[in-house]
Amino acid sequence: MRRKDFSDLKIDIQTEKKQSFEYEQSIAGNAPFLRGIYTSMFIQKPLKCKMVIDHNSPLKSNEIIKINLKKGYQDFILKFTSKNSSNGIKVNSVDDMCILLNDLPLNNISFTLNLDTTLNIPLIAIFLATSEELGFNNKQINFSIQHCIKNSIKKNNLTDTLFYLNKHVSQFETILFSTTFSEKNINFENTLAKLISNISNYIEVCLSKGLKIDNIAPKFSLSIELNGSPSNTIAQLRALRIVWSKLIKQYSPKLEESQALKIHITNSNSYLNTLSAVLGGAQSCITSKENFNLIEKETFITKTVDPFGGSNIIEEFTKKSANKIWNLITEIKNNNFKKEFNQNKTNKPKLRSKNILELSIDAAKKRIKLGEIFNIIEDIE
Amino acid sequence: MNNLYSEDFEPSSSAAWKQKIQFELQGADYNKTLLKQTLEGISIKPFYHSDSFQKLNSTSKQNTAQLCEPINIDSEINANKKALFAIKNGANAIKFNVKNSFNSTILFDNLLNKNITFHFNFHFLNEVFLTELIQKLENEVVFYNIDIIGNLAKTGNWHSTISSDFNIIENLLKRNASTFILGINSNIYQNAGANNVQQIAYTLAHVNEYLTKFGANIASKIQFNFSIGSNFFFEIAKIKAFRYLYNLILQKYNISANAIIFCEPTKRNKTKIDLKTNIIRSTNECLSASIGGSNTVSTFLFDNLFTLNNTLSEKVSKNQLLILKKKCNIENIQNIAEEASYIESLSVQIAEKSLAIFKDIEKSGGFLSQLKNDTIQRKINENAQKEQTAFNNGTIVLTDIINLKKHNTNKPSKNKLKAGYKTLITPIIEKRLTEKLEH
Repeated sequence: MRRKDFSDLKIDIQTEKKQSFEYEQSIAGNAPFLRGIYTSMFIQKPLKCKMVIDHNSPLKSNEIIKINLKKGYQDFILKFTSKNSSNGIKVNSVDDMCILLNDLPLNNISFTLNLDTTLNIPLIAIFLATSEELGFNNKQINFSIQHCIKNSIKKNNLTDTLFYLNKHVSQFETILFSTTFSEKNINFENTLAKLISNISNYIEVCLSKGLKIDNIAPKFSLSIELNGSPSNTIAQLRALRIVWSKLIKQYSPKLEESQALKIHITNSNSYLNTLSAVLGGAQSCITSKENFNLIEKETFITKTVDPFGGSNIIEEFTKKSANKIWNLITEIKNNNFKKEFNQNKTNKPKLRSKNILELSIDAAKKRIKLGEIFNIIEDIE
Repeated sequence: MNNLYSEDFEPSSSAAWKQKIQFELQGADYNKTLLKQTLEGISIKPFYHSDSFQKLNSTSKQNTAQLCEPINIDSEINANKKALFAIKNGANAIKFNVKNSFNSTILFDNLLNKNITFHFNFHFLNEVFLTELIQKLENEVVFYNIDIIGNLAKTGNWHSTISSDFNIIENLLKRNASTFILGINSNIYQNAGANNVQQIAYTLAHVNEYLTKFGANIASKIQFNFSIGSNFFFEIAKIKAFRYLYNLILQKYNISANAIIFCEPTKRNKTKIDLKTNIIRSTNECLSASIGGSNTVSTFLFDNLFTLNNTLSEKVSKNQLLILKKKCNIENIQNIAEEASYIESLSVQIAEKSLAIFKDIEKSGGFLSQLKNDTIQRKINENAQKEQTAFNNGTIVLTDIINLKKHNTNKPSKNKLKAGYKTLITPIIEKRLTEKLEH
């Protein structure tokens, strides 16, 4: 056969999509932030790789942190023992905490205090008192608190904590709200809806105590487990950001950033989950540096924002997931409203003259032990 | 339900996005800070918005992928055992790498009539052997992947002579019109260091030699074998661009065909340093291949790179198959790239650049002619050198080798690689980026 002449071949480009979604006109860095909370995402704000530190001995835990600082880790989750669990670092006093934090560049590390049980104000107090004793003032300390909503928080404690930290610890990052996720992904959206409704209750308590939404919302974030295939996961993370943004908007924030949801992934220790966390635009995950380095340096995935944006399947999943979570939240809130209405809202929380976290820090500085600080603040309540 | 978004939020444009980024850059250079240039001459932008949407106007679609395990036939019994093990762990395709003729009764014991697809990679061309094998496997789906031009490119020689090689193919095609006799081994180009645009252009020019020789009726009976590199979204776009372009050139033959695509992880970025990191690399590449719409996705044969004992080799094989099948769901994620602004835009750019190179090759007499005058080899070598330099100076990173590199200051070799035997043309030789460091 004679050779064909291909010189006149032209590529036919189509500029219309087959399916379009309202969401697609959204950009990262603007509400509802579904494409990402920062305008250029990982190019300028890399995903944080967190490492869990949970050795029982503060001394051993301190050594583990030092070894991993050398490997390039900067973000550590400190998991402490609690009433429910003896797994974790055992810290009872400023002296124990001094051993744990000894010789660490606290101004260059970020810690997440994982407080398994109730909002453990005495432990936060011991942490802050210790860092001050080690020569770092409150303004240099970068830390977050992780709280599981399955354990109740005393409403006053939450507002006192947030009030104190906002005022005195300028680099206090966030309270990560987490919950327990079922293994089988049956009710993933239900779980998320409950988690967000719960947080919205906390927001309302804080508002009722005089805190502004712009001082509350940016300090609240979600800590979740990933579930399902990468395509589902990417869509769910995008959906969560829409729902959050919509929820916060109801409280009329002045700052748009208040509507941006930070998402932390706790079960990302496999490569695939880390990949999904990146593709879905999460802020941090518990993963090995190796996994994340490979994604960042070898695959070029982090070079563009929300790379699956516009995909008909991902957009469709996002829409369905957002609608489902939003409707569930509305349903839960309606039920709660009825309950509260029936209870006749007379028992408003009483205002306390002294901030409970501040009191605890004072106590910690006086070398009063964890259990005793608990007793002191218990009496006040 | 639908106004969940619009009742609260305003639409925004790519112009607004860019403006917002520029504002936040506070004077830093947008292009330098946020654009990533690749060796294909394509820059990755920080964002893609649907208001500047573009895609290739293509209709072909691939819905499910098969999962393939590659196996070297060292002995028929061992290879058979490995195949059965892979099938047990979820593989529904097997690729046999064949150096010498084999006893097909032993190799296929217990493997036939099980809905398994077979792929071959022959290192020789023996008409009698192949004719018997085709007969033996007549009730199976088999891809023989015979590629005499690919063999010329890879080894520098015809199996026998140009006329004898072409005659054998002609005979096989005549007698087995419905069988997948031919394959285009584009993986040669990728593994030697060609970039994505070159790979597509060379593959098209390569297949066009067969279409010119044997006619376009064979167009739907050819399998294309690609190697997949680490640039996740470019690899997805590469496959989409190729599918489109194949049909575009077939228009000249007044025919259309869905390209049958087989993908395997590249050898180029694999190291002998850390097995686990290399498994992650290959998983990543398989994921790209299946999202791109590959018909078959193959795991990586680590036995060729690491000396693995049987137990470890089995473990690695099982691990790869299970992750791809169960966790990545690679058989059913083909459509998630459909109309994603970034990926579609990449496909358009890759297709445009590849088509231009393809036209040049055709204009200057075609692929064989450019192989004979060393043009293809030179172009691949140029890109491979660029890649090697980028690797040596740290622009391209392989994360498990960073520490090793600090202790090794070897400069890249500028000499052309030569085969250790007399060849008709310069062969296109596979080369891994880290080979020099691992000595």
